[in-house]
Amino acid sequence: MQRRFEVEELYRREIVLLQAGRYSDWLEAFTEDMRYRAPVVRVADHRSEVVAGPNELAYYDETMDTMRLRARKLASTLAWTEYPPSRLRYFVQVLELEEPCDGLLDVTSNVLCYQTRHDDSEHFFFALRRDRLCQQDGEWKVAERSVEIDRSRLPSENLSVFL
Amino acid sequence: MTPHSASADQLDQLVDTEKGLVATTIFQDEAIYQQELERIFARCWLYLGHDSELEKEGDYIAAKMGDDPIVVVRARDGRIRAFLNSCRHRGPKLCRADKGNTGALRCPYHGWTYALSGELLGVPRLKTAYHDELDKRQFGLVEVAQLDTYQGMIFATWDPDASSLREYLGDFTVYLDMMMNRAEGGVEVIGGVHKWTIETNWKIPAENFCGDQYHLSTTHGSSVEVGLRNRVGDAGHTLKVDGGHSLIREKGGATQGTAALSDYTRYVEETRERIARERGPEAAEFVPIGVGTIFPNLSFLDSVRFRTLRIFHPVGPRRIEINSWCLVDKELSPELKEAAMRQYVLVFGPSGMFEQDDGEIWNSISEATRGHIGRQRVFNYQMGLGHEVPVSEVYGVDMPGTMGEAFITESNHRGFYREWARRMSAEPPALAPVGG
Repeated sequence: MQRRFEVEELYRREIVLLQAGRYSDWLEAFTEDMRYRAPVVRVADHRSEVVAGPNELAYYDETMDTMRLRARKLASTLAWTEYPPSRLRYFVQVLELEEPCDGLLDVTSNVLCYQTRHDDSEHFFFALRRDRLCQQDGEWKVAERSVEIDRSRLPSENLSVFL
Repeated sequence: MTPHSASADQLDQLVDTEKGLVATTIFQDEAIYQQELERIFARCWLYLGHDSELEKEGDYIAAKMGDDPIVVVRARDGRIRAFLNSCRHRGPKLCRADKGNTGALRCPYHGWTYALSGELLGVPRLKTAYHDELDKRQFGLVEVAQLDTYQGMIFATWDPDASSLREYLGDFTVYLDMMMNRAEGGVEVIGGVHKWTIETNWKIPAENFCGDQYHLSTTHGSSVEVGLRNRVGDAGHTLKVDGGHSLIREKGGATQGTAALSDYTRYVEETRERIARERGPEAAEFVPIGVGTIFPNLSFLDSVRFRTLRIFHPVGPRRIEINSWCLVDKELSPELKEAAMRQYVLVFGPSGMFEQDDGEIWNSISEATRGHIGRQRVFNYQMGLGHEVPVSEVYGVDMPGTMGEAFITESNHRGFYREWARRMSAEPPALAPVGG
């Protein structure tokens, strides 16, 4: 229960920063050598083929360097996807939590990001999130995150939110 | 012919490339859209996929031609064939996955089963319910009229009288070769497809890729600010050939910049040096080839960071479905393939730092010009009007086409809409009913 509480604290902090579009601050929840991926999802006859593999296409396939670049871009007043800014709401539900060894946690959760823009543009992004957390200086940080968005064809004109 | 199609005279008024004016209604009007499906999407050679996606017999991929769903298969004899993805009995889709492998195409409704060659093989209760009187030969799958490949790219047309794919691509093959055939073994598609939807007209992204260097500084200003891209210079070429195909290439290569470069860029530089030795320095100017559109709706971007192909499927006058792929030279090491893929994801696709801003603007074009007043206006395509020269004057006799005197020009847009108007004006003979 203690671990679950700690993870939920981390996720709550993330939600506050994501909803405010404070992406540079949000990245402090990650380790310097982090990987952030969102593999594409396809319509396939077999469940095992639905999510693209590690050598296949993703919506995000990032390191800390490229995530910082994205964060700096989104802060620009020429970044039309966020200017005027989106209204964002996040919901995260922890499903499973495993501790493979001391100092590591594997967490799966459901994520919903609700994004509205302009007058009536509305997008829902539902996803399964798989995190590997590691302990650094007494704090949990995200070392690896993979999110599988539940759409084969995105309904939106772009994807500029993080899950 | 559709009941209320626009005549050649009306089309001349809607698209006046001499004056550089195009009526906004061609991006909005339902009757124009229906005419496009008939005279462009049922007549032109359209891209279906890449042959590296169909390696084995029985492999299939889902595709579209206009708004018609298509299944593309590698048949038993190794031939690639393409059919309307719809059962002849009552119409459901036969293949419902994006890709897969199958021995036959079986309808999930009543079980009609087709060979990979399209022939109707099995009909449940043929004897007891059809009294053995169904002429199965009349009800094979609806197959495209012609299918051919160029440098691994699979194209098809519904028009049996269309000229060959090679003639259709015409002089553009010179430039396509530079993109698709500059390394031993050719190219392959990385697994997975970026698929998304934009509320805009299909011609908006097609004309953007065909020659819009002008939008970079504003639309993509944020990516320039963070160093993902250099500031747009004045050196490069914006060229078109007959048939509505065109491209732009910036000197030094599109989307160069100092931020987040990878070893793939070094590989492209080495390739350019090799092409300079093998085919001369003029040819090397076209490595990588840049950004362009093959008429009507296939676009590409081949940069020092990655290479992508994408298609804009029309779904009504104000909606498109985009499918986008990342392509790499087959000979590349797994590490370099991954580097190119990660660069593509960073810059393009729905989440790409560049492309995410395009979608935001393209959908607002449809919104802002859909009203009674908005759809009676014209868009301005006058940039560089009267300032065009043969490419051969600049780059040598082997290089076909026409280019703008200035790098930033709307010369290619005018070529695109000239071809659009020509095809829309041509009243085609009715297509023969297919398959009985």
